[in-house]
Amino acid sequence: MATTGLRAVVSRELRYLGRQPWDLALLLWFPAATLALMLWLFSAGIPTGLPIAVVDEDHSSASRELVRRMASMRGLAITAQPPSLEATQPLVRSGAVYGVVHIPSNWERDRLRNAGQPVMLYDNAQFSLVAGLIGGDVRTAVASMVVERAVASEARFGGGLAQAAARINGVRADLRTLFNPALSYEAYLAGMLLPVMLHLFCVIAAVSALGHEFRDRSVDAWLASAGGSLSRALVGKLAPVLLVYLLFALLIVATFAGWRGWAPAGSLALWVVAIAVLMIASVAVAVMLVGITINLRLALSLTGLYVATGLAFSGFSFPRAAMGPAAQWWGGLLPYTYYLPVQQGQWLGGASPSAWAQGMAPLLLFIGVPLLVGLPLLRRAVRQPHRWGGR
Amino acid sequence: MTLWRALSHTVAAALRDRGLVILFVAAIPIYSFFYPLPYVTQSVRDIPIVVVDLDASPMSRDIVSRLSAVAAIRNGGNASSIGEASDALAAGQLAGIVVVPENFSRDAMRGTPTAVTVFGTGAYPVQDKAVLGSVGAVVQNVAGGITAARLARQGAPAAALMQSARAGPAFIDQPLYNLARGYGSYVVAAVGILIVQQVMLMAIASLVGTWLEGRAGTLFGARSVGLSALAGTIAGFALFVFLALLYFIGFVFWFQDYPRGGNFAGAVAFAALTALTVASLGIALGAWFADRERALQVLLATSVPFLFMGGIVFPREAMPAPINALAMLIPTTPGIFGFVKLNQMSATWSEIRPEFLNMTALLLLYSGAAWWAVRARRQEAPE
Repeated sequence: MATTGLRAVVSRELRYLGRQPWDLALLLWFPAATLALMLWLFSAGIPTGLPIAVVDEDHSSASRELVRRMASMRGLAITAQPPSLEATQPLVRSGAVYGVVHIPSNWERDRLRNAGQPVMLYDNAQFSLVAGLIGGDVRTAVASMVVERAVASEARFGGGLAQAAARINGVRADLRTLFNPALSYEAYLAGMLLPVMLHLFCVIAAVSALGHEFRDRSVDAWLASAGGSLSRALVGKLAPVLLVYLLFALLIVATFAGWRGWAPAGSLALWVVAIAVLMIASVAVAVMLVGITINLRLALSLTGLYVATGLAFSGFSFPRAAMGPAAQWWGGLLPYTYYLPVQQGQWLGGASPSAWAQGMAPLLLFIGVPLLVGLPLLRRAVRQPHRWGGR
Repeated sequence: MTLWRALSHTVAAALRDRGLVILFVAAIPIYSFFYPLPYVTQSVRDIPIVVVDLDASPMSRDIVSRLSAVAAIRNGGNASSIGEASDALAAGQLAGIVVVPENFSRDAMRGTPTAVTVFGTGAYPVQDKAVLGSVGAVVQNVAGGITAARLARQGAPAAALMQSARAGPAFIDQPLYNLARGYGSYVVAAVGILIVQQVMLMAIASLVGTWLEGRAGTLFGARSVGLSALAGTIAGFALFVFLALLYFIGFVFWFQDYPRGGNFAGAVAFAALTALTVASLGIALGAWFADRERALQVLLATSVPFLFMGGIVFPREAMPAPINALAMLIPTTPGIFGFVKLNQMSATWSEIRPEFLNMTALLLLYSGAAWWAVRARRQEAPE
């Protein structure tokens, strides 16, 4: 066994992991299990059969037709048909249904009199995603009936139903979703959450590997194994962590692009490079956080503040352009904010290499800047034993 | 040790630990201002689109000018071709492209079918929905005017045209509870409860782990530990959790002007039950981890899975049954549902029965686990 040098640091690191099952689990098994769980969670892709209640106070053939059309929507499941709107309140408040469709009395009669009443959907907007899905499906069902009737009424101007339909739809809005056209939530949520989870796990693992030396006052032994060179000690310590997470990253890409069958619309290689850079940036951020704090607990707390909340500020759901200036500014300081559009561009969008390069430039800064901040701080701290051992 | 002594010792220990007092007292207020920041505007606005106007007619300019009045989108200018804009859409720099085809105005006037095409991006579904919805509504408005003009030419009676112009919508989508469909009102109401659980679990488990390391505290310091000492410790920790929950449902929801206070008495009672459950779980985890920093390492990465397993962001109906069963072991699963129902949806106590039963079962489970774990650790020989 080499007594000093890079290999000695690595083998010291591996011996530590062998002795500490908890640290090994945090590096390997816990992330693997969590990522698998998240992938499984979204495996249905698109939520179907969301329970709603229908109150039909019209009792006409038309209202029954509307109920049939709603029942035939894949996204909806009519689980209750109470007699009055009042009777649906407990159903909504207890969470048994996500929404209530109300067809008012005399709905069909009033329509024939050209004084139509609207069909009302009351949806539970505390469940935003579900409310959006239900709203879309009920709207589609109602619209299909409205259009048919408009065509029938237009037909009196001659030309039969086909020409009437052409006239009614003379000017249309042709609404198209590109890239992930089915709006699969597996591609969307799992696709964004898995990389950000990996980013967080990588920072935690690197912070733990580095921070425990200060907590355990074992900095001297660590440096000694590297022959006194801090940079060699850091490379030897962080290389195993980085290697594990690069493999995880490849596994994620392989899962989406291979196993789940979403071939990248852009370049697989550019996507892999981007996620690899995110992992390297994670390790650099860990160096910075430990350098600032020289305290494992504080560094982990900062990881919570800086990395774990990053998702909300990245614009993955609520767009960055719509955020206030403070949140936009903070989001601009997080690596994941820059990784996200690069991944979506190469994986789903098929963005050009020049767009990729534009997106990667700021991401690369998250390797350089944290190291510039963290390395001098660490270099000073390893010479100050009185600062070690902080809990 | 009596219950009261254990309680006061626990509270004092939490306040005296200079590292952990930040978690016990300061972290929740910090997160309560920090986390809602992205959602202060509540609704999607100003997301960039471009218009490819191949028609360049008064009618197409009318569409463009109406688009500029829509709050959700910001017209980033005109592109001369779809190709010019599509890379920006793919790269996520644009949220949508609106294409007015050549001869749009002419075709619309003479009744040849034509369409304004709107492209959104499924890589960002929230933006996709906002773009397609808002631009679609504008185009439908313009189309309605064109259709009315054509019907008048065909000789439809003016009275009928007036009537249809004044007709109400055929369909109204009315939100309940979160009446403005605020994004923050929906996300923070759920995540606030998660933040309290996660921060408090970290704080409690870290302190219990520290006690175990130094064979100190109410659970590992005294010669013998009875049920009253454990109950007092749970109560002492639960006090912090309870105050944090009250701070969120009382102050934060008011300060951010989210829907709140539907069933306040019920929410306070549920907060007490939740606090005891989280405190018990924290003690059990702390005794298991037996280390001051371990709780942070483990729990930091669980927030995102816990949130999605809770079933308020992504519906339970779409999750595999084993994951739903596993989720019932996490206090936030009944916690978020229970608090949203009580605070935002004004549910009665009987309407949160499933959440109440789940939380009560978890309290029994985790207080039992805490008792077992503390005793098991005490029987180990001190190092």
